[in-house]
Amino acid sequence: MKTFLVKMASISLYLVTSTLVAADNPPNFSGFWAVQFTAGAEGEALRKKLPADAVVINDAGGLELGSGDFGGLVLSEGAKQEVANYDYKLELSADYACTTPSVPLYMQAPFPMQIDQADKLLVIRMEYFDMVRVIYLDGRPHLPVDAPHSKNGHSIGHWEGDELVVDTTHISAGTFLNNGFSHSDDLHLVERFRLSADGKGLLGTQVSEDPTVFTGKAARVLAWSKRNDYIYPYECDPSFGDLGAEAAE
Amino acid sequence: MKLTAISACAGALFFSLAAQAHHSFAVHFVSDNLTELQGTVTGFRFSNPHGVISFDVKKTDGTVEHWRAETNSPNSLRRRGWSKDSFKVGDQITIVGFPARDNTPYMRISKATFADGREIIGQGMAAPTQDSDKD
Repeated sequence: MKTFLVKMASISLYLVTSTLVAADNPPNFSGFWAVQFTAGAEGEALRKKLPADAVVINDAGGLELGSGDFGGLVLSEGAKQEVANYDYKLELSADYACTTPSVPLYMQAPFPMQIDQADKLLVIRMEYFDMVRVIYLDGRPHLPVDAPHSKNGHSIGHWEGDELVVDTTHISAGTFLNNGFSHSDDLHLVERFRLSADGKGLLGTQVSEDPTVFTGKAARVLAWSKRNDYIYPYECDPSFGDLGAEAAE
Repeated sequence: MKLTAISACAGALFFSLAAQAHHSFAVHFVSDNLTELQGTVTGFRFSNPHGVISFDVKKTDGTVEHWRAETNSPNSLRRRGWSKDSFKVGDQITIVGFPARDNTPYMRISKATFADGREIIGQGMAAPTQDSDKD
């Protein structure tokens, strides 16, 4: 695993140095963005740019795969065991009700987001679980390999023409597919974002690598549309778990 | 008690529902067997991750069964006009929803109809539009 992390650090260093070719006048992603179910023709173009060996998970906008369906991903033996032992009833408990999601899932979830963009910083405020994500655009490297992890992880970004490339590490383990399959602390996520041709849409892709739980790369194609709205507070109430658990008894 | 399996919807319908919750919809609820219940509201909680409507259903043998129907995220529902006052204790309602897979008296609400004919839509049965069918 240490080898994997060193490799990821090297990739991150490459990404940082590539900021030298950043766009002089990058597009502005600021605004309120609502999730779209399909990415349309422009999303298809992004899909074609995904690594050829990536397994594309078709669950954008909060769609779900059923129990035991991992969208074609090949799970590690440990992950298979974890899924086999997963107790779905725990999801209805007070302990679980307000467990925060991690980056790959909350970016896929069916909730809107507010983006505020500055020259060297981009902030994504998610409505889902009030998550706030900071993406550094100032050329800094990732945190040291042994730095603490969080559900938001550590994100650094750079521009490749009109496309924002975001590299995220230090993401603590969390739900990957909403059917009992979780990613590990070793997840490495690379996202690409761009505006649609008319500027009213935001398109994105995720490419995840996490050799601890699956082989190769997993990808998603995501899309949002611009709205005149604002983020509502989520303020998760764990007492829902008590009600759910009572019903399940 | 009126308990009706309304329709055996095609699996494709489920995939149009964008059902993800903080917990899995697919794992916890039957998506192809919409069920209708008539009852009296005993409580309504409207906070994330899900609202919950509690209601009593009078069975044909005269006994009362206590049910709960969870809603989509209140954030999504507020944008569709729901509020913490959408249901009041004592309201007579007809609820259509997706029943729990474990046969407990629990469901995900799709639609509620009040005694005066007003309807309120939860997790939709129609094709989704923008935010309409999201958690």
